[in-house]
This record gives sequence, structure tokens and C-alpha cells, in this order.
Amino acid sequence: VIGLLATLSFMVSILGGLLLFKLDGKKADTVMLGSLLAALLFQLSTDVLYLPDGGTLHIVYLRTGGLGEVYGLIIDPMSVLIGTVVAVAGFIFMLYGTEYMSERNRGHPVGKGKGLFYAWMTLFEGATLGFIYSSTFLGMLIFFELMGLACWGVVSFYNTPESRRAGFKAFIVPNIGAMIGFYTAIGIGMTQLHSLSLFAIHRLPASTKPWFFIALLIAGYTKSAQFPTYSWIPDAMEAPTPASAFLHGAAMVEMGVYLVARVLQFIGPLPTWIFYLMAAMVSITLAIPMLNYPLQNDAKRLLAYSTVAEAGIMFSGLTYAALGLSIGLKAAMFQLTTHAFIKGLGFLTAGTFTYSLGTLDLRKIRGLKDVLPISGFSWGVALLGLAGLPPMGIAFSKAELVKCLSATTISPVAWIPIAMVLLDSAVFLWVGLRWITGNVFGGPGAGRIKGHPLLNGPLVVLIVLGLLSAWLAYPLIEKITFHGVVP
Amino acid sequence: VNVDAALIIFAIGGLYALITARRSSYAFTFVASLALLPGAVSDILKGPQTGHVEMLSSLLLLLVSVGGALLSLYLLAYSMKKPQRLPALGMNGALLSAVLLLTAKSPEGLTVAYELFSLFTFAIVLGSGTRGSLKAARTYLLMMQVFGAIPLVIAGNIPSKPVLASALILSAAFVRSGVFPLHSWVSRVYRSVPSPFVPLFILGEGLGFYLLVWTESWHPLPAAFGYVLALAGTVSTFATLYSFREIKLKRKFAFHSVMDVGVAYFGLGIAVVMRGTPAGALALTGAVLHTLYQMTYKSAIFLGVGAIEHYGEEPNVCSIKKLLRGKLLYPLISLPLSSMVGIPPLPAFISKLMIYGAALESGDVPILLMLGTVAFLGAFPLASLLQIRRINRLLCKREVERDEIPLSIRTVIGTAGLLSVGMMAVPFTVGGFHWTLNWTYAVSAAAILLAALGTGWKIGRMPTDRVSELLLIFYNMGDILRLVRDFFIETARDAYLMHVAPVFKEIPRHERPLIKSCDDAFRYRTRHIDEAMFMPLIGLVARLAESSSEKSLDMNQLIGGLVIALAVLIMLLGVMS
Repeated sequence: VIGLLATLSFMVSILGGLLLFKLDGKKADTVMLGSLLAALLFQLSTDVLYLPDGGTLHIVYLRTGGLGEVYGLIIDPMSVLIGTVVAVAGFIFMLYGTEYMSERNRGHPVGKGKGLFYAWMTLFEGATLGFIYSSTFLGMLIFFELMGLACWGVVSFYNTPESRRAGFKAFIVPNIGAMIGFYTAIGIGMTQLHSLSLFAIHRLPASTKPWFFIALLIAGYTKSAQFPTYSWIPDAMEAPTPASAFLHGAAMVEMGVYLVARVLQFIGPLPTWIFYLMAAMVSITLAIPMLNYPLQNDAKRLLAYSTVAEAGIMFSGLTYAALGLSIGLKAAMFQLTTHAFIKGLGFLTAGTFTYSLGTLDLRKIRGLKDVLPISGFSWGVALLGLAGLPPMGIAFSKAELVKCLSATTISPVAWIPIAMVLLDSAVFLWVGLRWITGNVFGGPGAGRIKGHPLLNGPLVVLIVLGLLSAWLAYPLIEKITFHGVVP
Repeated sequence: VNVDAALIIFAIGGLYALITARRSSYAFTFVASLALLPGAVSDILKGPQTGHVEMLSSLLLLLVSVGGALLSLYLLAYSMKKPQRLPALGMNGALLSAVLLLTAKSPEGLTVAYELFSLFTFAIVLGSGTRGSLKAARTYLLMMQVFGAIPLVIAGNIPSKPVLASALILSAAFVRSGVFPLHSWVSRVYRSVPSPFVPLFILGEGLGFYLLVWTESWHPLPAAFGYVLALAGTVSTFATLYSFREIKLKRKFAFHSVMDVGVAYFGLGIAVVMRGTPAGALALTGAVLHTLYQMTYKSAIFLGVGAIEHYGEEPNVCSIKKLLRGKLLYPLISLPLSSMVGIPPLPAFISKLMIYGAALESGDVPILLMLGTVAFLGAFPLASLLQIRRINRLLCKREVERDEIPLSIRTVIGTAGLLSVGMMAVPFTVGGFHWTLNWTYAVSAAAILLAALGTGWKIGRMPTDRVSELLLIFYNMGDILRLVRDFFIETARDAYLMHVAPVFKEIPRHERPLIKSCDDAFRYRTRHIDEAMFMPLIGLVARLAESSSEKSLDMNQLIGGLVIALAVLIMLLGVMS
């Protein structure tokens, strides 16, 4: 039953998405919200059935002689947790989207044609959930590409030259990674393991494992906008804001991290040089947003660079997991969970700037505490949360990562990623405080603008989730560990 | 149970303030503070179960309780122009975090409470809406995070590196307490926030001290760190010289605050250096008492200053007349002021007597040299007060009207004044503090203190210009330190704008010298350093699209083609299987 519910959670979104390509207006609103609500309910039902027993459930749907397991599901603490995050965040973002994609939006009024956007978004969520539950590289590849396609659809939705270029970039860059990573994995799976299942990869010869892992690491890096392929994500800001929130908070970027975490869970011991390689890459990645923050005056671009850094923080956890520290794996997934809501809050708040003020230029936004009090408050909470301040849950996930300092007994290099993470938090705090004091408390602002409940409601819900996410997620985080063989 | 109830009420009060922005949220503060009282009193009466840390925690909880109740009564009558949303949220939150910190049993709990305290007190600065408050808020939170919370998080997680962990904890304690060299937030913040909120920051100074004592009891600091503590404390006492030349009362007392904390850290440093000796025990007791005493008398002073602000006046050497006209208020506000300058037998005299006595008993040359400095600078608080009186008589000719200060505010100021003296009873009524006072050293220490008072009396009667000339070398040293700090900050900023910004922004070479701040760089296009890798590919596809029959970029067609190719590939894989 759990398998069926998990399957339904992504199938209902995919089918809803396909149907939405032919719909528009109120009908599109209803079908989109209905699909996402159904996906959320199926996901929550999966949680309810899964949580009492826990453990790892492996359901094989398709097996052949030559390829072994071709398609199946893994239902374990990691997939259940991240699946829930995606379903909850996706529903909240798109509930907000129903008002954002309206003619009342000052910055981006949308008349007809929003059905296409809904279709891509619903498909996006379905693909993401499908990816999360997949137990084989073929299944992952299919959903990975579907995600890329949906990402192209939402980023180029406004059909301006910039959005077309950004959409294409967002499609090509992760695709290069997919080609390198997944086709290598499938090739090796077919020729050496005779199985495409994640459960088979620990059988790889020790000499092949590092290269197999690096190929998939490249796929993860491109998907998560890590150095040297980071710039597609700031450009992808051309997407409508609910899509940006989903892309950054719960789907595209996070799935690169999830892919590498999944591989680390199953692959078994890796040589130490992999740790050094990952530590170097993540440190360079973290340096780029740090140097970029002070130069950004566009709210969404600022948040986009923060996404590069936050994904880097998740990869820092995985860097330690490559050394065999399960705390690194936990920290990465913890960070993924808490970040989803706080980043979503940041983006949806930026969306209210577009909707009500018609601008994302932070220099022009003043006196939010009087003009848009809820947006002002949530902007402050989002920026301080992203800087890692409690009581937001993301502070606790970052603190969990610092526990990986125990790896300094293995190598002093283990200091570097954590030092970079903490430095990133400090720089973001410095920049964030500047914008908070200017945007929220700087004055004088224009007269008070009445916010829309469909915009303000999700902001309040996200603040609450941002506060509670650490507490809610921790029981599952504690159970995340390596499957069978510890690297 | 009491603590839990108090925490819940503080939280409700904070939420109520956030939602309604009403002053009545201080009623929750009052109730929560009172809820703490029975537990704190009972803990103190029971005596220490495990040692001085527990006793210090109970005493600080008592101060949180009594202080929170008094502050909330004061604020219920206090006039503020700005909405109370953030200050009231901050006050409830700060007291909640202080209770969490004082009852924390693990480093993780302590770190979270420390961060929360910084965040909620930041909200107070942010919401005070005075000139310069936004900048002060930024500086404050950034310093608390960079030098406080982050080092504390690292210290709690590094394996087997006691020296590094100690250094990190020291940093967190220094910045929380406003000890040199991490003191620069103190004067900015105290000047920016309304005076009745300053006691919360003074409580924070005490929490920084508590953090060190708490850590010291779990993992004793290396002896060398004792000298670092004592030296940092000694340098902090130089703040009193800056206080001397200030005419604005809040800045004046802020610098005094840095000095007082410095004295407590000097005492703690001696306790670490002389650990396990009678001098060490005496110094620790002196440092703990000085922390408690200065928290109460300084809070009382700032509550008095708040009464001037209540009528919208800037508290300075002239407007203080308004406060001094009250017949009952005048003697009551004089008590904490007298305590601050160290008049015997008021509290600061007692605690300094212990610290000075311990320093003399230690016989340690560096400590004795530091004692000489601290003792000399101890002359300036009295000089500073006499200077206020002298300038007031000379310059402030305007007669102030006698405004009636609300009864509750007067009551709170008076109670706080009495409490600051009543705190003197602490070492004699509660257990947990162990010391033996050698009469020879005690008499010598008392002589030093009285000599300092005598010197202060003379300096206070001298013209300020003359004294400033004599102290010029010290002011110059302070200016040099500030200029060095500014030089490094400006050099880093210029290097960033000249060399890093052009990497990420398309700034023409000839325009680079015109970029003086990040704002100037906003208008240039963003440059992605990774694009060079993928642009040829993207360009190729774009050219292919443009060369199609429609001569327009039909992305749908392109993506459609890619999807079909992908589907074929997947089918091929199926066939192979």
C-alpha cells in the first residue's frame, strides 16, 4: 500500500501536468491545485503508514534478465522526508501562484496562458517526487530529464529574449551533467553489474567506484549549480516567482544534492582523495556567492546566489559523508529540509515586491514595515534565517554540519568546508542586514498597500514551517544513514 | 515548573507584542518575571549544590526576575514615540533567552540561548528608531554573530583542542560583555536604545561573564588565558578616560560600563592565574560580586537617565537637572552613582577591595602592574561625576521646569537604587562563595582605593581641558587603534571593489577608479565566470535555431526534438535489456 501511495503521489502530478497543457483560466487553477493537493495527501498518507515501522522498503516494479532491476521504488527515511518537503512546499508555492499569476500582479500581469505555466510546474513536482523515490539509475534519469524539461518550461515562460536564453541554459547545463553521470552509471550498470539498481552499486570493483561516483557527482554539481556550472541558477530568475521558489527551495537544485546523497548511501567505501576533491570544489563554490552578495541589488538574484551557497553547504555535508561520517549525510538532508521553507519564504516575499510594488530592485524598496508589514517581516525572517540565525530551523541544520568537525582528526582539510560555510553565513548576514535595515526600516515608504490573503497566507505558513521544520524533521533525520556498507 | 511557566509566559508576551504592538505586552513580562522569583529565591536559600556556578546562576536568575518585573512596570508608564512591537518582542525574548542560558545544561543549549539573546536584543536596537539605531543594530548583530555565536558553535564541536576552544569561548564572552577589543558596540548601542532597555544589555554583559565562569567550571582555562583575561580587562578600564570627556550621559555611562566589566574580567583573570590558591578564590568572589553589583547600580543609573528621556529630552549634563530636582529621587539616584565611583562601604568598593586584595596577594609581577593601571584609572569615575556637576553649574543656566515623573517610574528608579545597595548583602547572606581576606592585603587594597578616590576628587575639580591635555597620549592611543581598524577595513573594501568586483561585473577598466562603493557597481551587467565553458554550446544551438526556415528562435521545436531524442535513447536501452 505504501508503494502504491508513493507512486500515486508523483503519478497524479504528472498526469495533472499533462492535462493542464490543454487548460487555462479557472479550470487550470482547479486542476493544478487539485493535482498538487492530491499529491500532498498521497505523500502524507505514505508518511502516516511509514512512520510507525520505519526501515527501508524496496519495491521492484520492473526487472529484466539483462539489466536486473530496471525500475522500482525506495521508501526510506530519506525519500519519505524529502518527498514530504517537496509535496508540502510545492503545494504552498502554487497556492500562492494562483494569485501571483493574475492580472493584478503589477510587475508581471498574466492574462491568458497561465495553464501552460501550471502544466510545467505540476509536471515539475511529479518528476521531482518520482526522482526521489526511484531505486534505479534509469528511473532517476527519466525523472531527472523530465525535471530539466519542466525547468526549461517555467524559466522561459515569459518568452522574453532573456527568459528564452536563461531557460535554454537551465536545460542544457544540467543535461550535460546528466549525460556524463547517468549514462556512465547506466553503462557501467549494464556491463559490469547487470543491474541498474542503487542496491547493486556496492558490488563495483574498488578501482571503478571513484570514477563511477565522480560521473554522478558531475551530474549532481550541474543540477545543483555548483562550481564550475553555477551561473544558470542566477539567470533562471527569469522564471515566475513561484517557480523560482520551487526550483531553488525544493526541487531542481536540491535534487542534485539528493542524487549524490543517494549514491553515497549505497556505494560503500571511497578513497580519501574523493573527500579532498569534494572539499576543494565546495570551497570554491562557496567563495563565489560570498564575493557576489555585495554586488546584487535584485532581490531574486541575491537569493539565487544564496541558493548556490546553500546547496554548497549541503554538499559540504556530503563531503564529510564521503569520509564515512553519517552525520554529514544527516546534516546535508537536514539542511535540504530546513532550507526549502526559508528559501521559499524569501522568494515568495520577493514575489510580493513584484506583485505590489512592481520592482525587485532593493534600492527602490523602502519602509516595508509600513507599506507591506507582513512582507517586511517575512523578508527580515528569510534573510536572517538564511544567514543561519535561530530560532529558524536552518540554524540547527547548519549547527548539525559543524558536528562534522570531528573529521579534523582524520585530516586538517576538514576545517576548510566548515570554515567556508561559516564565513558565507557571516557575509550573508552583513549583506542581509544592510538590506533589512534599508528595505524594512528605511523610510519613508509609500502608503500602506493592502496585501492579498493568497499571498500573505503562504508567507505566514512558511514562517511557521521555517520555525518548526527542524523539530518536525529531526526524528527522520536521525534515521538517515548508509545502507549496508559504510564508505 | 516555575521556569517553564515563565518561559511560556515570556513567549506569549513576545508573540502578543509582535501581533498587537501594544505596550500591554509588558504585563506578560511582569507576570513571567514574578513567576521566576520563588524558584530563584528557593535555590539561593537552599545554598549551592555543586558550587559557585550554580549560585551565580541562581543570583543572575534572581536579578532577571526582579529586574524584569521592575523594567516592565517602568515601561508600562514610559513614553515612547515609536511603536512598541520590536522593543516589547525583544524584551520578552531577551529575558526568555537569558533564562534559557542560565538554566542550560549543555553547550548546545547555551549556544542557542546565546544566539537568541543576541537576536532579541538586536530587535530592540532595530525597533528603537533613533538616529543611528539602524547602523548600531547592524554592527551589534554582526559582531555578536562573528565573534560570539560562530566561535561558540565551533568551540562546542572541535575534538580535543582545548587551547583553541578556550580562545573561541573567550571571544564569545568578550563580545557579549563588551570587553576590549570587542567593545565597540557598547557605546553605539547604549546611545541608540531608549535608556530603560539598556539594563537588558547590561544583563548581557553579565551573561558573557557567566559563560566564562560556566566554561571554566567544566573545562578549566589554561593559566596563560588568565593573563589574557586580566590584560583585556585592564585595557577595558581605559574606557573611563573616554567617559570623562563625554557630555552626553548615555555615552558617558556606556564607557563606564566597559570599565566596570573590565574590572570584573581583571578579577577573573587573577582567579584563573592563581587557581587553587586563596588569592584565586578571593579574586573569583570579587569578580563575581563586581559583576552582580555593577549590573544593579548601572541598571539603576540608566533607569534614572530614562526618566529624562521620558519627557523627550536628550540626557546630557544640563538636562540631568530635571532628574536632580526630585527631593526623594535625588538621594535614591545618588546611591548607585556613589556605588559606581567606589565610595566606601558601597558595593563596588567591597568587590574592588577583594579584587585588589587578591592581586596584591598573588605577588605576580604582571598582575601587580595591571593592578597599578586599574587602580589609577579607578580615579576617573569620581572625577567624571564631579565634572558633570561642575559643568552643570558653569554652563547650564536654563532653569528646567519640574516635570512630574510618573509614580511607577519614580518607584522603580528608587527601588533599583536601593537594590543596588542591598546587593551588598549577597556575600554575607548566601553560601557558595569561598574566600579568606588577609588583613594586610585588605588594608593595602583599601588604601589604594581611597587614594584613587582622592585623586579622582582632585582631577574632578580641575578644568576639563587641562585634564584632557594630560590624557592626550591615551586618547591618541585610542585614536590610533581606531584608525588602524578603519585602515584595514577600507583597504579590504578598496581591494574588493578594484580587483574582485570587476570579475563579477562588467566594469570597463577606465571606470574602475570611479567605483567607490558596492552601490556604484550595481548598474553594471553581471559577469558569470563559468559561462565561457557553455556559451559556445548555447551559441551553437541558438545559431541552429536562427538558421531554420522561420528565422526565429523556436525553442519549443528545439526542446521537442531533444525530448524525442531522449525517448529514443530510453527505448534503445529497453531493447538492449
